[in-house]
Amino acid sequence: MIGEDRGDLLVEKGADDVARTSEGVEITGKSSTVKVRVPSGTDVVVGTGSGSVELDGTLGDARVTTASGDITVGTVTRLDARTESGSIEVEACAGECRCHSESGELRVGSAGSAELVAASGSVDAGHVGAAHVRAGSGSVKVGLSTAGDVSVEAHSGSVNVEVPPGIHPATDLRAKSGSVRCDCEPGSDGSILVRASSGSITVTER
Amino acid sequence: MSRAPAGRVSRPAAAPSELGAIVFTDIAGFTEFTAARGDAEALALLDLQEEVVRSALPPEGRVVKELGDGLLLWLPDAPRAVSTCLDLLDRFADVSRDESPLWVRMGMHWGTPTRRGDDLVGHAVNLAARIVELAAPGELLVSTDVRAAVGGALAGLRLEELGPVVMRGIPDPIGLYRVQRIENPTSPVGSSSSVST
Repeated sequence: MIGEDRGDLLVEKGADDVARTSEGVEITGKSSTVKVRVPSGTDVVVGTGSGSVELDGTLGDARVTTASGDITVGTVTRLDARTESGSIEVEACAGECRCHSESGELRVGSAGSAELVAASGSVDAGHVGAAHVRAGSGSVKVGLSTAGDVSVEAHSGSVNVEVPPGIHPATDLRAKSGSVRCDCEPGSDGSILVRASSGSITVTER
Repeated sequence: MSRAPAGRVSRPAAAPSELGAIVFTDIAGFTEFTAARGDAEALALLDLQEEVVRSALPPEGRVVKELGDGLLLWLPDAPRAVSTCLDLLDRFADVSRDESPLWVRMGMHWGTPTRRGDDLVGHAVNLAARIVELAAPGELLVSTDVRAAVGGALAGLRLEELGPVVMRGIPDPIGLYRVQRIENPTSPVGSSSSVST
């Protein structure tokens, strides 16, 4: 799916059926790759059983589910992405970015806020305004873009939170068996709460 | 002592059940938690989940069976099933602690399973099991059939549509919704609908 500067919808290949409904256009492909070009900012809902999903260009609200496949997202307004066994990579999400993978990695370039769950993969959120992260066995890296709230729960794996220069967050950091290090001066510029079972915790200034 | 003839196993008779809500609970990341914290803490987590469920389940509901780190529940009334599950998620959050992080997620389908003794089996059960696999901790996901069964009977809910979802082994896409109480200030992604009276 490609969101680009155009006024119409173009199904380039793979569709078995294209139907107009009261809510928009429904495109169905049974087994081959479906490629669709839509106007920038279009809201999309994409579901596949076992294929990967690529959302390129600029789209509006996006909801994506796959049973087993990777999800790659360019620029969206808001996102809900779920895969049972694949990775999710998001370039930019202006608002709320929800990603959930049972056994893949999560990578978010930037987001207004992020709610990220990876049962057994690592999590990397580059520049987010706020984040709530749960990770089963991978490492977690969260980069704050502003004085936001961050909470991270990790069963095993290290947790690293980066804050912008000059930000002094309130912190509550607890590791059951790993080390804890915070390089930031304490303050009230947002909050950082981390719980780690067996990994280390570090909070650093970017 | 009587014995079944060799090669034959006595099985409970299968019989149609009544229409109702089939609910799966699952503790996300349980395998990883067990690996990190050990069997004793993992067992305590399972006990805590079951304790919370049994204490909050209405009299007409029942725990059908335990499934590793999850439970299969049966509730005959759709609106009450939804409110019970949301209450359960609140309770899981309340009792979740550093030493016992209850990352419970829930999936619900409304249908007519087949009874096999005390167990429930069939397509409706399989569907509910697939739904919970897409839920994140703290979430209740429900099928279109749950939404239809609830109708206008529950005030204060937001059902956020996640779209027709293709699930492994299920031939047709299933309409799926994320259920939240409306007092939650988080605005939903994409289209949503509220059920109110």
